[in-house]
Amino acid sequence: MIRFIDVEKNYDNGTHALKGVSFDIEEGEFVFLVGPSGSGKTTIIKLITAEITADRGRIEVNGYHMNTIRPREIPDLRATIGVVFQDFRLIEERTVYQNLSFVMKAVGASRRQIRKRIPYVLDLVDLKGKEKRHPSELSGGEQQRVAIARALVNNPSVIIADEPTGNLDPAMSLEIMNLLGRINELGTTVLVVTHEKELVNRLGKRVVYIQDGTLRSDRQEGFYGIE
Amino acid sequence: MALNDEMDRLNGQEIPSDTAEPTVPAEDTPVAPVPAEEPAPISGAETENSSGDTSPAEEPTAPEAAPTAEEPAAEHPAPTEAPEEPPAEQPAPATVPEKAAPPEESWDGTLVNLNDPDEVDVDALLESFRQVTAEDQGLHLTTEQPVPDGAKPNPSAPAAPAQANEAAADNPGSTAASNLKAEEYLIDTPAYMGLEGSTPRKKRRKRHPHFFYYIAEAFRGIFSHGFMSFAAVGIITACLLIMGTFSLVALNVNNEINQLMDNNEFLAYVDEDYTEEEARALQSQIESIENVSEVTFITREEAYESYVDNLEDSSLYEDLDPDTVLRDRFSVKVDDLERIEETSEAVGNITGIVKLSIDLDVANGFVTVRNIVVLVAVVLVAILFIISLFIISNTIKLVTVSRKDEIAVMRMVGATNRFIRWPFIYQGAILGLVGAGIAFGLQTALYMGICNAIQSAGRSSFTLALIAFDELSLPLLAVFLVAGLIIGVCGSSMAIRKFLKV
Repeated sequence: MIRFIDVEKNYDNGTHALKGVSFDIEEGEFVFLVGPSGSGKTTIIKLITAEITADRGRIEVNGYHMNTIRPREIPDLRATIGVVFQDFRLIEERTVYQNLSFVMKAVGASRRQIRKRIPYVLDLVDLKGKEKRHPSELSGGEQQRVAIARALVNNPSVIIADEPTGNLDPAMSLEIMNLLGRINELGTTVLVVTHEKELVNRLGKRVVYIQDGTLRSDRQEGFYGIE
Repeated sequence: MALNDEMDRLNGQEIPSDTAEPTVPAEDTPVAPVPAEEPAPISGAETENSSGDTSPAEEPTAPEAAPTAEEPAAEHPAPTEAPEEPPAEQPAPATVPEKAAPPEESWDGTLVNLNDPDEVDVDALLESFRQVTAEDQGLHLTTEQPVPDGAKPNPSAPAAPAQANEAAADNPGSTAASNLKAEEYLIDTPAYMGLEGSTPRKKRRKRHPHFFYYIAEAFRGIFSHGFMSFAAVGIITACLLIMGTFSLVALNVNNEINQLMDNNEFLAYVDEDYTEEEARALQSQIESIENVSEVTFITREEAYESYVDNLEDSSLYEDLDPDTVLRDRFSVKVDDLERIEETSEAVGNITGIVKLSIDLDVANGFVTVRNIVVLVAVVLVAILFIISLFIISNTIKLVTVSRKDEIAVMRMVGATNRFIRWPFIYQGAILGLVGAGIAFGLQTALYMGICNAIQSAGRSSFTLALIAFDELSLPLLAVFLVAGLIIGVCGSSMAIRKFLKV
């Protein structure tokens, strides 16, 4: 559950990234966060994952209040969020299995749990049997699915996808979006930042449109663009 | 039989009119004695949902139903037995307002044969399983349809054993069964390790990685950058070796000078008017002075003898009478050469001592040499220590930079700083210790070699006695190990610091 209340953020070089943005995302929702480049979408993501702090306003993520969160709580917060990036950000030197077990180890899972969990999650993203491959041996769509599996492996309450289809061809992009849709159906909140018009229009989910640091439109079953 | 009792109990309940058995179409006789039972606790509101009987929600304890399903299968044709189609003991609770239907019903004895696809609407069954387990987890499902690509279980309720996964691909029924073990698994998933919930602030992760994990990761880092690790170890070895050599040189010089200083003494001449007995009496006074280590009384005659013995041509002095031209004297040795001046003054102040023969310049010369050597050694050691610190820091920094991606991923995923930092620190420590060990080995070889060389040179006047290595070996090893450890740990701490800022 993510809540932004009147959030403002200016960067040191003078850019006004966000000027008073407010929205709520409830559990179980599927939300598209869209807008032209430089509109503040990435800033919103960074605020959610506590990479930066807001200058003004209140932010609440999964019960944590970002204004008063303590540095040592930030890892715990981040463990409840799964992030998927445009460039996948997998570790090349490790196998798929190690990429996932690494992440589970980081939050303190035992080996037994890891061994049980990883095959399950890989099956969910339809990558069964590819545990021993290295990321460089996989196609783009497969790598992104590994990234999604990695985001899922610690059972987060919300998955944030930052331009997940940026490096993929249209067919794969649709597949990834469908996968995210299925994940959402099974209960995880999903927030997708994207500027792919067709995908947004096709899925008919809630669309939050940001432009120039302000929220222009927020509609269920939205289309890409201001309405 | 329990089954019949159960049947009787259920028979007495109100039967909603339109709850025909949808999946047992051919056999209409079972309808009456095998009613679409609804156990009493469930609210009557279900009647409107009884059309949702197509999605018979099975109790969470249904895995027991599977193994015992053989029984009803055998009795299947018999209408009065085995209500193989359990009408909704609980309704499809998918619609949110119906949350009142409690899933925590205990099993009422109805049995389902999950292995016979004709009997059971598997998709609906699956869906209800998902909903049940989802509710256990407190999630709201917003759809009643089964997952489009079929038999994909709830991500938070995964199949526990690997076989269940394979079975899931083949037999949807067993996916259901493995799903139902999810409850036990859920307790173990990271979510239930206290990472999410309504009061996240109070929950802390309960398990930290084992010590061996850090060591394993440290070795991984060392071997993944083999050449750099090798170079780092080499540098540490070299620096420690130089430091050690200088320290040993300083130690030996100190030792030598101390030994020489042992030989350094001065003479205190007694008043010539004193008799020998009176002169001897002064000895205790001299001995009582601080810093005096040894006092030897030399009579005039003895002095004369030794003096004459040392001369080539003593004919000049043969008719000298030692009693008249020489004094009795004391030969005084001191402990601390640096204070020889004050000691000799103290001796000279004793009544009866009229003259001192002391070569202060030589004594002070020794002291100065020793001080300089020690100072130079200390300065060099300090400089080398700092140099090695920076070199190891640089090496670790290179390793860190090359693993920047991993570290970023770790942070993004919620690893604590400790989790990220410790492998690097252990890495530095291991490199430092290995370097120290090698340095110790080389140092030993070097020292022994020099000892042997000196002994075999064997010139009698060149009595340079080096400190026996046995005395040195253990302290030296300890010092090397500690120095290597400090270099490694401090160096890697410096390196990793930059990467751990938010």
